[in-house]
Amino acid sequence: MICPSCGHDNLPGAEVCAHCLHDLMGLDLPQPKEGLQRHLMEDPVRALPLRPPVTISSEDPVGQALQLMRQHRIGSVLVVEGGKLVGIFTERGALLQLVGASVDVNALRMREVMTPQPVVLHEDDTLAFALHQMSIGGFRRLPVVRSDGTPVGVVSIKDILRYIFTLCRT
Amino acid sequence: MGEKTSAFTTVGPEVRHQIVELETVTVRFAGDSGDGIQLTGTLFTNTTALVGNDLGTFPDYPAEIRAPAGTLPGVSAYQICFSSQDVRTPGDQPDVLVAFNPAALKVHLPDLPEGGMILVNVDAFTEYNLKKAGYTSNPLEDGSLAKYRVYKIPMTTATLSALRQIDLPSKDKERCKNFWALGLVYWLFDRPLEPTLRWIEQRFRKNPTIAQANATALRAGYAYGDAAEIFTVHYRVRRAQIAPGVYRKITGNEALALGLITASQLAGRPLFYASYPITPASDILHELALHKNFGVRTFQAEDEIAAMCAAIGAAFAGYLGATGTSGPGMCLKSEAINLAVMVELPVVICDIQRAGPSTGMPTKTEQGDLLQALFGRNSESPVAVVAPATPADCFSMAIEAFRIATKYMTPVILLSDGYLANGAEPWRLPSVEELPKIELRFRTDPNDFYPYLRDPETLARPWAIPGTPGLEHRIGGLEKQHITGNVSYDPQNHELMVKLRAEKIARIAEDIPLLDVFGEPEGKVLVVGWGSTYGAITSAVEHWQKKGASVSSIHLRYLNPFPRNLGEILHRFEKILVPELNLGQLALLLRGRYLVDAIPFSKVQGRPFKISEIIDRIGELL
Amino acid sequence: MTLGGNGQGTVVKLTKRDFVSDQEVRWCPGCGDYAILAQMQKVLPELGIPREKFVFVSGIGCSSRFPYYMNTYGFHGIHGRAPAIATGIKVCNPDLSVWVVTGDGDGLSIGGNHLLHAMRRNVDIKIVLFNNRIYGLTKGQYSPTSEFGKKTKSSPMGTVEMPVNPICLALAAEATFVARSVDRHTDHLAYVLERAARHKGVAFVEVFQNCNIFNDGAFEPFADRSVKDDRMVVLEHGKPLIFGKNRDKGIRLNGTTLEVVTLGDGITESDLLVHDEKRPDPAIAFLLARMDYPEYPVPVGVFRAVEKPTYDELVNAQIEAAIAERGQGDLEKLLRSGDIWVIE
Repeated sequence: MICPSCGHDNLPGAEVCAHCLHDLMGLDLPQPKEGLQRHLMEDPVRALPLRPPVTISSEDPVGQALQLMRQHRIGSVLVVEGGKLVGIFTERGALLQLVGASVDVNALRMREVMTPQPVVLHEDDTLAFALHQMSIGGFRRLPVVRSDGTPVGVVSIKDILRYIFTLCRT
Repeated sequence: MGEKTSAFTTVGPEVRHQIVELETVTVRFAGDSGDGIQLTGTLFTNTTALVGNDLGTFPDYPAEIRAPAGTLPGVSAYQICFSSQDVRTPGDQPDVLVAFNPAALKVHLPDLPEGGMILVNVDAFTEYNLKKAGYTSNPLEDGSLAKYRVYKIPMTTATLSALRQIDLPSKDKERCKNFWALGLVYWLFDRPLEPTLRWIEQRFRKNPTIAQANATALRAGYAYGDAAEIFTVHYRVRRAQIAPGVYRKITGNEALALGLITASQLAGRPLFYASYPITPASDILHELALHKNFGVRTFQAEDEIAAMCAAIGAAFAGYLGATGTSGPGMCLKSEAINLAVMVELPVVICDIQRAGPSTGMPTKTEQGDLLQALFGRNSESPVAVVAPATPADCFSMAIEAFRIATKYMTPVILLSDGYLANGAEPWRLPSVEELPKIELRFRTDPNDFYPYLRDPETLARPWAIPGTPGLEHRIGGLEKQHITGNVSYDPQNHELMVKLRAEKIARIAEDIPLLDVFGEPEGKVLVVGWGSTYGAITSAVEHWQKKGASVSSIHLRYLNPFPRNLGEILHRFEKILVPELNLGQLALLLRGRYLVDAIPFSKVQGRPFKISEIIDRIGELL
Repeated sequence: MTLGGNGQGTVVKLTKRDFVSDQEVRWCPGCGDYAILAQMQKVLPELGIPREKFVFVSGIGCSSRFPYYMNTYGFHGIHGRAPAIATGIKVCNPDLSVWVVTGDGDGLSIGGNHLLHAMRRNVDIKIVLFNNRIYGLTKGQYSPTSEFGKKTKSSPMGTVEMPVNPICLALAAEATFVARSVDRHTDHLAYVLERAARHKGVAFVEVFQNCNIFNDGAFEPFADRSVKDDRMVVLEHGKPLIFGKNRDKGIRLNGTTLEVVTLGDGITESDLLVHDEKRPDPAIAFLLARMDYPEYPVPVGVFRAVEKPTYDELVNAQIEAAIAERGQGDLEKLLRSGDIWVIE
């Protein structure tokens, strides 16, 4: 582990440089450099323009969700109970569960088709964290909630890309 | 310095650049990775030592290996107490807190008394950092620091500005802010720059640009103190009366390692040190592993038990066997230590105590293993126990442990603790000629050789090592017949052997120094301590003695057997106070053995006693 | 008690008598340990090593009584820890011939960890494991090598654990010498013990030992004189694996499986697996080690014998190297290392 201050080759994991006492603990932690990397590692999700959430109750019929998605031209609805997020239903969910199945979308309740306890983001989570969650889970969008569970919006990968684009231009 | 307020609250009216003389100052540097706490602390200490102050230091490492930068678990600190008088501890509480970021301020502010001085790197107090440290508002602006004297220093920007002429990327320049801060603190305490400048020149010989940057930063920090309007006063601490000699700074673990090597040199037999990595003892293994050219064989065993057993094997083969561990490791080793008791071979077992029970708080100090060292084995199992009193004393007691172990053919437990292990003090180097000799005698004559025929004076059995012709014999954990060493289940023989083993340890008392009373030989209050409480106890007792109170103290470095005159000293005082970092283990022993009403004074917070705490407690008894 | 060396360093021819101690042997009558003791006392005098250089280290168990019956330096340690004690002894005095006597309980239960590491490190010690597939000293509980379903005092309904194979364990730790013999096959046992003694590096020997009180006849189905030729195979370096009273059966390696074949009918000796002790990779030895009655003949002999630098040798070499590089340690200089200052 080369000390950035004096160049001495230290054993991996050394806390201080054996030669010049420079603090090495920060070297093995991921530290952002300048520019885009710093923004991604430090900017919170709330820096993105969050769309206001489109919500539906868990008792409402699925047909209503489909209509909301068409009406607002969005890919997902957040399912709430008592103001708190309890599930999410997306266009992919519709594709996999409804298309070709003989179901009555006006009888089927949201709670029967939604993904319960979805993975969420908080407003202060960094963009890097959001990207990481999306990558691991294979999600294109994630709901953003407050600490008490009330949804404040949805972040999609498109939003992050747009943000990065703006950063690159400056 | 027993007062709870800061040294600075009594400073007079502000005069530009008045120099105020102080007797003792305690400074705590705190920050996290990238702030160079070790560097700043160490260099400040070195300069302070050269200036001639007496000092004590204590590093406070983060418990996590790598916490994210700027968070509370990532904060590390370094405290130094320096004085024109005797210093025996790193200071009860800081007078000056140098906080490099909000997290450092948050963690360490509670220890700063009212009126204390705070130097902060205001550049680090960004919204992001404040949030990470759990602040909802900026303490520098919301009035919460009104009770302190806060100096907001733009360390980062000032460093970058000072280095603007130097051709380095700004990331590298930012790293020099350690030296800038150090320069400022040097100005604040009227310390010279030369030692650090020499150090920079020597360490960065290969990178002249960096050397220049560091030196420039150092000077700039110093100049800032002088030129900036924010400081109207700075301080001077005169040199102390220190006995002439050659000194070096040493921590307890370093001293212990050097002591073990020195013992092996004095005895003329190589050292075999077996150990399993455990906080806070691992450093001893690391240090010893560096000195193979002294014939030191270090063995990183697969577990604690293997370490102790390998050390016993080494002793059987005629080497100086030693092992080191902490509380949990002592539990594991207990059966093996008992084997050493039964086979009567010399092994030194170092227990660097930490807060328990079980895994406890690995990086925090405690003195909870005394009773374990004495009794934590099955059946009657007497073992000699010694305990150094200061970091440098670990050197002397390591040698003493081997002297006792080899003379009496017994395992010896050396009790140190995390505070001694990591704390540092100046150590006046002994010359090699001054050191005691350790005489070893191996049996070679096969005539009338019996493995358990004891020396009439010490009751030690002969040390007959494999490879010596004609002395073939078997030893082991089963009870032995007196003299012949054959396995024996005879009832009278067992009682005899149990008593002989106990008597052997008891006779060590003839061979260890008598206790010296610090103060009058009789009086109202006697404070009794052992291990790392020495500094705080002695300073507290001295405080009362200066006021004319009838207070004395003794400090036990030998815990089994006790020094011969302990009983009579205890009986000459009205009240006996025993401050310990446990719930009263030594107090229990004193009560049981000497029938005195020893009053325990316990602190089990993972931190050493403050001098003020002991002062107050003594006051209650007077 | 006759003495071996004459005390002046010249080597006197030793005999078995020199190794017999004056302690009355307390194993049960009929115990397999007697046979092993006898062979050891026969082999040791032949090695040309002065008696005072032998050290026997043991743990706890019937096997571990062994040092008391040998007139050498001996250390009867605590349960399972003999390899660690032996490592300390050997590293400090590499001139000694250090032996560890252990059992299936002492070495594979509580001592499993230390055994593994001693073998892994290739410490130049000789480990003899008396495997009687039971806990004898504590009167009859099952051991890590007891067969699945074994009924004992602590497993009245039979054990529900699979045993471990000590040879496989030794090979997995890549011990440089791995061998097995049987207590009553005295000549073969003597041969194996001598090979182990002469090996440079860790030598692991498993001895099938009969506990006639608590597990009598455990090895009889294949080791008894009347059947052993057909049910066991003796491994010999450089020779094909042939067994059977009429030497008409052999072991063939088919891909990664071993097969028992009958010679004749198109199968000749050249089709058989030839035993190679010196194979650097222990994989084939592992296959051999897994052969068990009744599907296969039980193998005995030296499974593996390779040479690698030993731990004790390497440790002491580092000491030499450090001294060569930095000079013999100077205590005065050591004390003065670090930042020094002088007070006048």
